[in-house]
Amino acid sequence: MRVVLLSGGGGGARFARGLADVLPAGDLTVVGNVGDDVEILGLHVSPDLDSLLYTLAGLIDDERGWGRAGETWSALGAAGEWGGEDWFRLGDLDLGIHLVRTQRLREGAPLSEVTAELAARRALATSLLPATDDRLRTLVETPAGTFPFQEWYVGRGHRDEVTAVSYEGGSEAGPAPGVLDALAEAEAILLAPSNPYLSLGPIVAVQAIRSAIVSRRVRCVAVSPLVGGRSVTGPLDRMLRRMAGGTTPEHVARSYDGLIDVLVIDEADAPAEAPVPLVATQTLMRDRAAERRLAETVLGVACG
Amino acid sequence: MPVVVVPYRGDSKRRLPASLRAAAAVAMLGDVVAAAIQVGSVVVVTDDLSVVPRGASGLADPGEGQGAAVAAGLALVEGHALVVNADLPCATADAIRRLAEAGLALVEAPDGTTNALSLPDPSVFAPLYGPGSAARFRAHAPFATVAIPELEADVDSGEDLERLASRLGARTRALLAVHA
Repeated sequence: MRVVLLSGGGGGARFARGLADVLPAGDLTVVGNVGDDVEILGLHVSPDLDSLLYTLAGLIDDERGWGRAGETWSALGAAGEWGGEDWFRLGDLDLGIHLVRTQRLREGAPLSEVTAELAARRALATSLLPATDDRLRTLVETPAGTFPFQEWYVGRGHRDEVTAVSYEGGSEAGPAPGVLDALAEAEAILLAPSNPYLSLGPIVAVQAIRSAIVSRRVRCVAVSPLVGGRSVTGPLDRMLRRMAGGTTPEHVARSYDGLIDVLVIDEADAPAEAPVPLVATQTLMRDRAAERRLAETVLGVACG
Repeated sequence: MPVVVVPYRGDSKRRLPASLRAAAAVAMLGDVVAAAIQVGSVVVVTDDLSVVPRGASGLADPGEGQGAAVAAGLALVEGHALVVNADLPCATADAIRRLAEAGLALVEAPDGTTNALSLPDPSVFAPLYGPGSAARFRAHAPFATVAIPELEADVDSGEDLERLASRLGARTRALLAVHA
């Protein structure tokens, strides 16, 4: 069964791994967020694509939830000693992928091609696509000013309240090669338990992707990233309260207005009412078995 | 506001005509949920999570019978719970409200099985479904038996649907009109 997943890193990447575990090889296409891509020390870093790649390839540090297992940070420390920017935690192992990606991009290869090359090095059975090859950046508006996503999230420790989110370049960005074909051929479209504003918003800010989902002929199912009205990690609960007025399944569903047919929520948030049918299950992915269970449940919702 | 638990199995209506079995089961579920969401939040416990109607929260049926399905739904409820079967296409919001107001109560089907329960304390529930279950529920706890015609009329066969035609909910009626 061909499935397209729209995802950020973190919980989205774990859900992607669950899907990859239960679907036949080759049936899963993951469209990853690039709105929080950032240039650090001259390197092009794609944090969500990296999280997806590391997770699907078994390289992720599962406990920390980001970066590679067995990571160290000597190079970053040395860069800092020489006066380089060291607020974004590039690990020594992690640097490898950024060096290779940056070189290939400088040679003129589009991000989608570079991503495919990187995935091929690990023989992934999952197609990993960036939402777009064009420049698209998430901007976070706060009372202290407007910041590029990583500067606010990592640099300022996401302490400022968010009043609005915008996607610079979103209206001009075209979908990366393969994204529209995958959506057209999909038997189900899934939205990962990622942040609707910061992870999935930038993907559907690409108008052709949004249009393809709005005019879908198959079911689109989103998994709420909230458990008991709270984010598992990150600032989503605060953002939803401020920007949507609350953290119930209804508020989450409204952030996907027109895009989804069903919202999968945690049992802690049920029963509830929303503009779309809800399905309650245990959404917290404590281990690989829980990732697979959630994946199977969501596929059951999408396809019956 | 009570929470209404609706157990639903896609494969349970074997005596309905094959041509409309699946569609009729979903239509009846839709009518029950449409009535129930006017009374409280609705949890549909089902083996087919792709059919959960708008307004409801679906929950996977653990697959150990109706009693276990209802118990799984009740586990999400704090406070007053109602259990309303999915094969009651004549159910109305008013009928479900009357059930809720009856305290610890049940609605008995003509064949002695149980169509609906009102559980002010959900922990009173026990998995007693099956033939003669209404009497078993009454023996288990002081359930009042309330006569609510809209909740007594369960549908097992095509004849049931024909007999109840004028009282059916909108979805089930529309389906029959298409098939007539």
